[in-house]
Amino acid sequence: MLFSLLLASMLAAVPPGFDLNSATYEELLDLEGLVPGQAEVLYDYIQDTGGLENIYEVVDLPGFTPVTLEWLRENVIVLPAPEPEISSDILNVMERLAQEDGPGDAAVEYWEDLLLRPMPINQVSWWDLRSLDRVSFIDAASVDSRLRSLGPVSSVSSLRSTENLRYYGYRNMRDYISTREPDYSSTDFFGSYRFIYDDNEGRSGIDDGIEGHISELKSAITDILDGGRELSSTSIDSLELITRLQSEYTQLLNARDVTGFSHRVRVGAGDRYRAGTRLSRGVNSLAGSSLIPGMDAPVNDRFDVGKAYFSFQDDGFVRKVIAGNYRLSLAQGLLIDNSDELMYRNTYRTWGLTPDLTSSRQNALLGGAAQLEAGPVLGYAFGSFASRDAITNLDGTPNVLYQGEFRTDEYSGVLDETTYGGYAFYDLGDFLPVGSAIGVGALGIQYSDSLNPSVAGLDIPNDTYTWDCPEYAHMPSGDRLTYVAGSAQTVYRNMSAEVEAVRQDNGAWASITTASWQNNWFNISSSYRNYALDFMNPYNRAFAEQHRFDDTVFEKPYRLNDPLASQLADLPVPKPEEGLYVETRFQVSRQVTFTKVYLDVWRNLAYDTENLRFQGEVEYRPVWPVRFRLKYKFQDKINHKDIVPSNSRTQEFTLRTFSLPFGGDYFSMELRFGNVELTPNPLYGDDRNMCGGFLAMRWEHEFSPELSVLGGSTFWTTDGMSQWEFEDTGIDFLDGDGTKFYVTMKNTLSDNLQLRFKFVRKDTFFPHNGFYRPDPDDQYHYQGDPDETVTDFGDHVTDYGIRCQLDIRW
Amino acid sequence: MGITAGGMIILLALSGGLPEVLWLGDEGFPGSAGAAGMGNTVYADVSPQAALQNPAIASLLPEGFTVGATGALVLDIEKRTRRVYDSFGGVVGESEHSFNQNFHPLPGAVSLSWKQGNLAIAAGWRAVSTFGYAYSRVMNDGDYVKVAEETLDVSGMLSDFGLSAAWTQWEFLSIGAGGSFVTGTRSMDHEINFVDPTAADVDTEIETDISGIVARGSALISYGRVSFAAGIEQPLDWKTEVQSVSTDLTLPMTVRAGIRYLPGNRLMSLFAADLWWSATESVETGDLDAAMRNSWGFGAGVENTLPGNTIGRVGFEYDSSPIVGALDRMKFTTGLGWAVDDITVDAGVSFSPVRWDQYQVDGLPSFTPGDSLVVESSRTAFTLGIAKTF
Repeated sequence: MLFSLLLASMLAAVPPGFDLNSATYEELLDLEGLVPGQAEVLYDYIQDTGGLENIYEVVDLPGFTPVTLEWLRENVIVLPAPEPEISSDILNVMERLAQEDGPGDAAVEYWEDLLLRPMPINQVSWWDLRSLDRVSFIDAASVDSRLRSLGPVSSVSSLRSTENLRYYGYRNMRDYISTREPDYSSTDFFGSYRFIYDDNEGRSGIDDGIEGHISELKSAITDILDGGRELSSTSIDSLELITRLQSEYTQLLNARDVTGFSHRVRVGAGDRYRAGTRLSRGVNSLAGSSLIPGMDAPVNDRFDVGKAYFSFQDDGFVRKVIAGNYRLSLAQGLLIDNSDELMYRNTYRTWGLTPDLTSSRQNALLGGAAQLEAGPVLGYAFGSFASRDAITNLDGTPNVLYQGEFRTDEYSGVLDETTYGGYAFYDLGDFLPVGSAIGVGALGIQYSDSLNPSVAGLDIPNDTYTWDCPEYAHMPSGDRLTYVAGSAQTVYRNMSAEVEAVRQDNGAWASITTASWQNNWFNISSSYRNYALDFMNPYNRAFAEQHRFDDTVFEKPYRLNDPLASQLADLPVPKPEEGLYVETRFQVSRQVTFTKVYLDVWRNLAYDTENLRFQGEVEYRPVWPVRFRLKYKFQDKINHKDIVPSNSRTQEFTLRTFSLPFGGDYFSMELRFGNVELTPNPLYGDDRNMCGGFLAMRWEHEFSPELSVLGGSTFWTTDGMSQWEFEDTGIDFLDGDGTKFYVTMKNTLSDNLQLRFKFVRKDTFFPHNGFYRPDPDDQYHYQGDPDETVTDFGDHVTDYGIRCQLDIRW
Repeated sequence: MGITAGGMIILLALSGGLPEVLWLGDEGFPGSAGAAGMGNTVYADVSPQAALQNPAIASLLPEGFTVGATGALVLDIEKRTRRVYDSFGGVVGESEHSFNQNFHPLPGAVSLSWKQGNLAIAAGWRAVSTFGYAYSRVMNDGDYVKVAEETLDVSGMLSDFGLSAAWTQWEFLSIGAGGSFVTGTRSMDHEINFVDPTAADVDTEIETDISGIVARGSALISYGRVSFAAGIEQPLDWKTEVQSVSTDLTLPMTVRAGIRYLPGNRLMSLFAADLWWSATESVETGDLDAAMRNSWGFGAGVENTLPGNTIGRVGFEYDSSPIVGALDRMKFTTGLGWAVDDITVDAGVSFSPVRWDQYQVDGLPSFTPGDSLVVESSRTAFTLGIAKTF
């Protein structure tokens, strides 16, 4: 009785609906049912954990008794914390996607945008839906057709029954669309900030990257100083050349210790306004050249990428306007495609007009672009003014456009480029099946200086190698390029056809024709392409796995006056070629799926040589948590040589497993073996077989939804055929023999703050044998000490990498 | 870089131009072992040891007496390689030239704090730096004939005796002030014994006494789940004395800031970060400019309470070198912690690799022929700490 009276008297002191989780420290102190020590413990606990989930949790706190619990249960309430507005799974979803195919920044940014703010499905058309990864043109047109004929949907799942929409397409669409209605009157402010610190200690490969270029420059300098190039008998000014090479050499040495970092801010207001900026610098970046020409500020040369944009969308006939940096990929990408992916255009592209905050400088457009829609007409107009890099002749005039990673003063910002154009599509969906359209477009490029692709500026005079590179000889010259394009596409039931053709001002053509057929289990797509030898559009991406200067003299830096010019091999434009590409996906049963099988047969138009590539991957899923994937790749390629063409045959076998062995664990393993067989050649002796392989394992354990730790290890061995693998945050190249391990911790501290730490150690062993040389002038020696010869030794390279990423969202 | 590191660089410059001119001594751990596992975020650390560096943070310590102690073991590995070139000047690989490793203790710190109401006081001792390096080599002439043996032995320690006080004026603001007296000795013994009996051997023993004062002030602002501290430290009246010859040292001012954020989740997570900037460009010995550049660094770390109440920590630290960018250091740190009643035990591990080329450091005498020497070194430090509140 006494206890009840006591309770009743206390009850009067507590306001009704008193929530412990939102109470201040002083309010807790005032609670008569708690002593001061308990109030402090309870307040700290609520602060540390984000709040009580239920009132019974308090009995686990020091100093709390069943009597206290009883009092609290009767007098106060515990309201749950509000649901987060932003899912903490965003990073996880993106990583799983990225792990499969290693897409570029542009694709990942697009996914991130859509995961945060999905497309309002009742407001979009097939033009928008086709930009989604693994959603076919037919899938997109099917959904649009269903919306036009049956009206808006109330749930995303109701699209599942759409005629001609594959389940595969639906599955890859559903995370990025929603039935929400855009609120254009809202100015709700949201945004995110991301900081990345990326560092590698040690050598990231002797042959590749910065160390390879340093070595090649050193060789060239030594060769000239030793008189090996006999420059005195040519028109090349040897003093000028060696001054340039030494300058580049010094710049690369200084770039060895540069760490990478990136700041990215993105903000939005409601569904209408977006803005963002990115300032970053890559690992081993030279930077140094001013981000904003003419600006005299200490930070102006700290970054090698500086991007920003402001966008506005969906007002009247304006679908989207972007001022600043943007990316544009239209039709089949023959007229304009500056998507960030340096992979090949037969894979996914971010179709349409998107803001650009990617890490790449390559073909970045800076200016303004608009997407307009008036009735059946969808139009794009764009203009850009940006500086471009170019390989320069010794007199400083631009030789050819260049998109190398290492941008020395001699090559960076050589030209200003003014780009302008437009593309207009007429939607024929009112009289033909939805998805039918025709389009015309034009592109103009004006340079501030004339391009002058002169062999004399690049070829080493008097060497034994005869320069023969039609891909280079047909590079455009002058200060102006123009292109016109036409395109058409249609969908009939579960079939589609698309074509685009582009004509350059020199009369050269390029075209791609694609036809597809699909049902729920099977789809097949076939493309015919033709890029004329004279056709060169810098806003193109290579169709298949070869860039224009692959397998050319530019892969052999020791045959160039300036070895850095070899970076032209990275120019991602297509080779002059014609070819037929056929790709299919076939789900045989719930357990067995041929995920991707393709055959590519193409002719190199520079040399009229035939090539073939086949790749097939099959997935076996005996039970839901376990998948096995077996991939086989075969390539037969012919390279032009002076007397007899050489032939290379590449085979690659990959076995991958993915499993979820326990709740919260994710395990994957990859085993790969590859070999290349070359045409017998006296130069290589009997060593005409190269091979390599690796075993990679990765385990992720989730301690809680907020914390997971991922550990991975890789073992590899190579004999002439280096390997590459997707780590969790990027591609890694494996050379020599070695081992590697890495640990990544992902920590979601709150709805607003996410952290990621990664640590990598990589050990690579290069045996160096057979160093005995009878010729005293052909010995190996220590740098700067030619008298001390070196015999056999083993090289052990240890690389350490650290990557930290901080994400703040609001 | 610690406040005395600039001074040590000057001292080491007195070592006669040997390669070890770059050796900065072994810096101690200024904070707790918990902070050591979180990227050495000392300015965001709440411990009696950290209160000596950031006086205002003492106001976050528990009421009553708290004592904390830290110690460490260090594994140093150093590999020197030389680049091998072919006759065209192309790099073939790197051949190992020498490999050294040693495992040694590193004295830590002991500190005591007392807090009552608005006032908090901390006092303690810590080893700012220890010197312990031995090096020997055979000296050959151009024909690889031995001409001498050279040895170098460096030892000693710098101790910091500090006192701090913090006053909480309002709930959201605390201010603190403190200071340290730093003293110690660095001993260097350098010998060259020539094979030729007619040549005069070299035997140099230098005892360098070092002393100075450091004044510190800081402020702490607490708002909800976030605490932010910023402060300044200024060395005063620093001197070195070698064989009764005294030299003034002008050491730099350092500005520091730290942040603690309690997000409030089931992991009881803590995010901590700190940042410093030092005007090392102003370092002088006597009237001689040390020709350094200003330096800076940052650290960040996170702490989570794992199932079973074990605390897991991970962090990252980056310190720029006042000498040259190639000597910048990054550290990856991790740690565990346990709390039993009023006693907390913390363990931390940090790993710090660095790699530099001989040519990258101006003024370094060539210690291999040519310019190909590359030094790869790593330091792995194991830290253990204990704290108890009475």
